[in-house]
Amino acid sequence: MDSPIIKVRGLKKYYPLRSSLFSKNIDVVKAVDGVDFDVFPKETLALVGESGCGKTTVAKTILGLVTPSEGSIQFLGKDFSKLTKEGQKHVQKNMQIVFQNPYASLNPRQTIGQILYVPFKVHKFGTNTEIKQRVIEILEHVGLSPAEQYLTKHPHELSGGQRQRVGVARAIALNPKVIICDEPVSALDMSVRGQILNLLNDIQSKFGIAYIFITHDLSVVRTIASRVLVMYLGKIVEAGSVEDVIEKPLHKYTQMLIAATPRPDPKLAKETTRSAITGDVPSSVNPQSGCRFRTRCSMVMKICSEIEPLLTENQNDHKVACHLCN
Amino acid sequence: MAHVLEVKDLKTHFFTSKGVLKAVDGVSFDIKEKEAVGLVGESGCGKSTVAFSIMRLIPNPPGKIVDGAILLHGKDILKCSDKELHQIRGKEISMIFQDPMTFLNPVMRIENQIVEVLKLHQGMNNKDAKIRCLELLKLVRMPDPERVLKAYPHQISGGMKQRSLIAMSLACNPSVLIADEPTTALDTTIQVQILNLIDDLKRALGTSLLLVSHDLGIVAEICDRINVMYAGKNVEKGNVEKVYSNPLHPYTRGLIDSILTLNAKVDRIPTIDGVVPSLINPPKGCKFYDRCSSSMDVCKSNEPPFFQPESEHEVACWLYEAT
Repeated sequence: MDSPIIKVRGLKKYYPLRSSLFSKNIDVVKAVDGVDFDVFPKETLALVGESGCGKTTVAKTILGLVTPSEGSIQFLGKDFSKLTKEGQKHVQKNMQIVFQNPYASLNPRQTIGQILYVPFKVHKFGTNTEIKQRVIEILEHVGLSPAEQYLTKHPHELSGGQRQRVGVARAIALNPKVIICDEPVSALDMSVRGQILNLLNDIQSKFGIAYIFITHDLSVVRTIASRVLVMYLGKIVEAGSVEDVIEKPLHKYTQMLIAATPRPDPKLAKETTRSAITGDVPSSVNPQSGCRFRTRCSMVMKICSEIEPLLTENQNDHKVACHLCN
Repeated sequence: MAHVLEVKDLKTHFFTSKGVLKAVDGVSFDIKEKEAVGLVGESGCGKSTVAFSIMRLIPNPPGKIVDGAILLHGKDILKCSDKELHQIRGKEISMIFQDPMTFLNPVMRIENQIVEVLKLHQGMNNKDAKIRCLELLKLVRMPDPERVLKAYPHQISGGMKQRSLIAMSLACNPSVLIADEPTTALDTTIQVQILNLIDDLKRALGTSLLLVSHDLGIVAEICDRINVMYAGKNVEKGNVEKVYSNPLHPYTRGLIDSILTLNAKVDRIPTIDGVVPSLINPPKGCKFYDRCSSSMDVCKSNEPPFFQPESEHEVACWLYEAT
């Protein structure tokens, strides 16, 4: 196997909350609390979890938008935080992001041409004519053709799907090695969602880009990803290939997520009961001791409240953090 | 079974500076007693406008219900005075919305918001209303209901907010509950709990349900019948199982094909090419003509009426003219 492009080790991000100016006990939101994983070239790694589990914070720390409280992120063997400004800029060129909401992530006052011109200007890519040539090229790559027609349009003139295509175009502009896709299809309609996922697949096979795909929807994971990390309250609870995790889920939380995914089959839906899905995600302020899922787990044991389960390998790279399995 | 709600040839148009936007242009369906009906379509198809028209909450101007009838127990809501509407809204028909945060008052405790409804519609005194309020929160399986009563909306989670809204909407035992994308803003595991809750309460209280959603998976979970909308028109309607197992309209077929499932990995997700036509000056014939893979000459200039190729299953498509 190739060596990983991104190596994340012991990543933690805490946000202190001060209840009052002079209080001594500072509450801490443990948004990400000790996460290790690798991203390999040309693969799609999915990060799955519910809101507040820390998946977006992981993405932001990888991009260098948020400084981690602890732990390291290595890009091609170099620790991001130890790089100079120039070095960081080079790394950022190779890491891009596609945002969730294509209505909010494009400047409404700029034309599509201007929006796509910015990355080239920031990273000092060639002359204006060269840049224009390249902008037209990437617009064609994302299926917005004839490209000249789109250059002078403003975001409000485009549909949601077309806007997200512009988002993808901006991300691939500088030939990055990794693109972080933060819920890129959850704001889109069903028929358009398929178009964007197909586009992302095409772009990956054409340019060999690795994706870190953040989503809450397991059916999207099944379609696009090769490996998956399931997160719960700042921790990875299960990791493995998509086939293993979806067909043979080990952690009770993953099983709950799979059972909760709606199935478009009225007969099947009426036969199944989902009484096992209960509870709400607890707050990540000062999380409880032991296993964080124990408040919602149907198989909770005494050990779960005492010792925190570690992410250990079950078989063939299928890892799980649960006392039941280890 | 008796019809609780009948929508007949509803037309809601918005008069904008660019022209008349025909958001809903001739939609008919009915809801029987204790039945759950799904209203499905992509954004901009007019499904929420139908829901808001039933509640008579279309902002005028620019919007106006230009034609049609909405019969609640046989009485036309469109002919009701404002005073009569106050009696219907929240009492006979109530609604839960997509984003619970925007529909709860952020500066009022949950208890006071529910008590307000009970006092207004049921004429309860403060003490009784407070007792009933706690009962309602228990009914919607609110975790820690005593604490929630005294909480402000920002102090509780999204699922709890949606439970509060459901409690509020059921406070007066309405005949019809309209749920407009009730779970879209919620997490997957919370979504299932809320859907189960709506389904259970509907059965227990005998309320009819109109579920507006873009998600065919959710509609499959709890609805008995389904209406598929496209560009302000109803294109297919019928029994849920029949529509899912044998979708007739090319649009419905496209939508069902594009659903992602957990079962197997697909190399290429089937999609519907093209975009929804503009609802200002929409095309003359079938609205789906430009995107349809089986379009014929007749479709271009003639709007298809409803055909019924099998029982409990109707479709507005010229392909089924012979049946």
